[in-house]
Amino acid sequence: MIQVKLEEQSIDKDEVIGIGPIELHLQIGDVATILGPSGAGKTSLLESIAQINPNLETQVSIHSTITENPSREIQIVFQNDRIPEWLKVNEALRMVLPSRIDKTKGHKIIQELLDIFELQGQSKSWVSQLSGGELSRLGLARVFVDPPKLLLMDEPFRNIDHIQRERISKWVFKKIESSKITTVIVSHSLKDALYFGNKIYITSSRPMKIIETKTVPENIRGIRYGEDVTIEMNKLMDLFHDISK
Amino acid sequence: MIKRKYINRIRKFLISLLLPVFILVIWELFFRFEVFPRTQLAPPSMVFPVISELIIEEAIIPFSFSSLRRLILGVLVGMVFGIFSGSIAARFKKVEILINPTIAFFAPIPVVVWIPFAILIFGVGEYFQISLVSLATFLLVHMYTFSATSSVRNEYSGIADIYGLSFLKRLRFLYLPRVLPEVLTALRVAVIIGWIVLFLVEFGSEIPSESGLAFFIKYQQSLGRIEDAFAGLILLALLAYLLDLLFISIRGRIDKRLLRTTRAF
Repeated sequence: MIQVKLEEQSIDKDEVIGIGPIELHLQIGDVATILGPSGAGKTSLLESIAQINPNLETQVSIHSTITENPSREIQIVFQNDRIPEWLKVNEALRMVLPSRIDKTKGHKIIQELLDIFELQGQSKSWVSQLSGGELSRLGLARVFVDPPKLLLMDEPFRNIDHIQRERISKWVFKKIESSKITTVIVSHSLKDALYFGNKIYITSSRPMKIIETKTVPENIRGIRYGEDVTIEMNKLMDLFHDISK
Repeated sequence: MIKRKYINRIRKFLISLLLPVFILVIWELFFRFEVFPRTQLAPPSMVFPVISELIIEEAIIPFSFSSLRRLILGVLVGMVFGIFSGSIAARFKKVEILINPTIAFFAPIPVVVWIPFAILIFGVGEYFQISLVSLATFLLVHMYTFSATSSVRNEYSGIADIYGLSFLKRLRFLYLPRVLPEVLTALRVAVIIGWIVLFLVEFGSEIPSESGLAFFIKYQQSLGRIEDAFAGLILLALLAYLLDLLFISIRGRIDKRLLRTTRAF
C-alpha cells in the first residue's frame, strides 16, 4: 500500500496558488492518472511526492514506512526532461546506474534500454543534439535503469511521435504491469489515462483538489482502440462536461 | 568558391595588419625625429634583428622558459584548488557559509598588494613567485566554479538526490563538464594577471639565477642595450599572445560542443 497525503498549502512562497488537501491511496501495482487543467500545480505535486519540491510538503508512506528524503524508491519522469545537456546519451544513463550493479550488468541494462527506446544510434551523441522526442525517450529510459517502487510520470509521451508512442507506451505498460510498479501519471490525454490507469483522479484548478475519482474497467486497460474504449472515452468526456458546468 | 574563401581570409589578415604596421611606422619615426632621447627608445629597425638573433642563438630561451614554467605551475596549482573549493562550496551550504565571505573579501584586493607579505612568508625565491600566481588564479577559478556549479545545483540537485549521487559522481557528471568553459574563462584572465604579477616580481628580482623575461629586460636596460630590452618586451608580449590564442582555441572547441544546445524539435 502506498499512501500520499498532502495538507492544504500553497505551491509558491507568495501563497498565490493553493493546493490540497490531496490524498491518494494506491495498492501495489496501481496506476493512477491525474487529469486536470493546465497550471493547476500537477507538476509541483509530482515533485513534492518525490520529495524534491522545497515549497511543498507531502507525506508519502510506502508499506507504512514514511519516506522523507528523495531516493530511488520514488523516481520521476520530468515534463522538461532534466537531462544535463553536456553529457552523452549513454553517460546520462550511466550516471544513474546504482553502485550495487556491476559494470558488465550495467552496460547490458543500458544497451537494452537504448534499444527499447530507439536511441541506439544516438548512444554517443551529446544530449544537447537530441530532438524533443529523443529527449523524452531518454527521460523515460532513465527511470527503468533501476526501476522504482513508485513511478511518477509528468506527461511522459508528450513529444514522442505517433508510431513510437504506441510501441513505447505498450512497453512501458507491460513493464509496470509485470514489475508491479505503482505509478502516478499526470496527463492531458484521456486516451493515455484509459490506456494506463486503473484509477483516474480528476482535479480542479487553484486550489488543486481531487474532485472526482473514477475506476477504469480492467477489460480496456492496455488497449488503444475498440468499442469498449470508445464507450469509456465518451463517459469520461461526459464527466468532464458535467464538471465544467 | 574555395578560392574566394582564401582571398577573403587573406584580405581579413591584411586588414588586421594595418594597425600594427602603422604603429611600427610611428615608432620608427619617433626614433628618427628624436621625439624621445635615443638612450630610451630603440626603433623597430634595430629591435627586430635583435629578436631574430636572440631566438636563433637561443639566448632568450632560458629566460622565457623560467617565466613560462612559473606561470603554468602557478596557474595549475591555483586551478586545482579553485575547482575543488568552488565545487564543494556550491555542493555543501555549510562550506559555502564558511569560506565564501572570506574569499569575497580577499578577491577584490589586487594581487600585487600581497608581494611584500609573500616575500616575508616565502622569501623571494621560486615559491614566492608561483604562490602569487596561484593565489590570483585560485580566487578567480573559485568564484567562476562556484557560480557555475550553483546553477547546476539548482537545476539538477533533485535528480542527483533521487539517484543518491556521491560527490565524486556529481563532480564527474554534473559539475566538471558544466564548469569547464567557465574555468577556462577564469584561467584566461588568471594568465593575464599572472603575467603582470610575474613581470613585477621578476623585474624587482636581484638574483640572475631566478631570471625570467622581465629580469632579462631590466638587465639589458641597465647595460644600456635598449634594443635588447625592447626585444625582450616584444618577445614577452608574443609569448603572452600565443598562450592566449591557445586558450581561445580550447575554449572554441568546448563552445562548439555546448553551442549545440539549440534544440531542434
